[in-house]
Amino acid sequence: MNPYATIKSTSEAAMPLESFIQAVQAQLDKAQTAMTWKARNLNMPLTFAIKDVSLDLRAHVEFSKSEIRIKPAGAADVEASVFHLVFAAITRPMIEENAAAMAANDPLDRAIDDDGMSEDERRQLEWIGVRTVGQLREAEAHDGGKTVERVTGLPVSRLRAALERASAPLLEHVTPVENRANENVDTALIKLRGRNLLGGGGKPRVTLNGEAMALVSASDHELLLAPLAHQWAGGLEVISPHGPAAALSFDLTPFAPAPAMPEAKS
Amino acid sequence: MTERRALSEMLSEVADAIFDLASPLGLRATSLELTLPIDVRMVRTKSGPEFQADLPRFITRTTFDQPIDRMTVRWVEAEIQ
Repeated sequence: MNPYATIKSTSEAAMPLESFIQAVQAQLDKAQTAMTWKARNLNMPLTFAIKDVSLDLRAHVEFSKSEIRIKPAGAADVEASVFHLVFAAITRPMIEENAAAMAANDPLDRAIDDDGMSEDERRQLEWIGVRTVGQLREAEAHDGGKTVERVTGLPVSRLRAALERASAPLLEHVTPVENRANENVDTALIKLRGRNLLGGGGKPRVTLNGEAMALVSASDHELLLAPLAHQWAGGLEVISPHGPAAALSFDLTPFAPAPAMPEAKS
Repeated sequence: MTERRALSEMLSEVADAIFDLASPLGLRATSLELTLPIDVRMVRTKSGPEFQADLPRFITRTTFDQPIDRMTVRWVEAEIQ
């Protein structure tokens, strides 16, 4: 199979504008890097930098599934539009300025992905700058999601359902950790990583096989548990004060501290 | 030559010509602007879509050939960072 198969001029060949721009940008970056390396190898103090590139492409512009797609014009395709694109070099501060707007304010915030929204719905939210769960929460808190509904056409009930899903506790992994607070006693703790572990406020209740586990510290992304000698394996459940719960099974028996030896009688 | 080159290869080759222009004593090019007719296509590669843009292979166009596109590139002198 030829790995360099041409993208055919059929409706399937229409590619997202975003992918097209990235492909052109990658080529411009490559060309610039090659020129810089050449000048460096020749010990030249100056080089030539691409200031801007403008392209006039004959193409068909389609709008499909909330996405702009372009399809190159075929032979004798006189009806095609002329697509005028200008790529201009920007400085590092300009990149950082734009990237800051794209990045989430909260480093722990995450992109809307597996929260029950279709790709189409996620793209509609992206249009209005809602890319993360935090931003979705903010939009919902602002006026109950009515503005988002009006602009994107997504019903408020869909936003709320997605938010509820995104706010549910999720347990990711369990690891044993040393108990540094008390070096004299041979004890160990269990660290539980996840998200929404506080479930919107208050400390959660943690049980193992239905029996309560001691909670040393709790944050929205991490719980530190002090297990009893028999609590190193089983079905763990984290129940937040507001109701939603998450469960996970684990077996950390090999990491359980050795039982204390009885003192020999003299 | 039947294969079209990637845009970066074509631009690098044109840029080489600029370096040669800048070489003679007493002559220094500080910027250059070119408008070129190009044949464009996108191909799938293992690393994703590749934008190929090369000078047209034939002067004479037939109805079986894709229409020629146009590209304007501006280079300016810059310090190496």
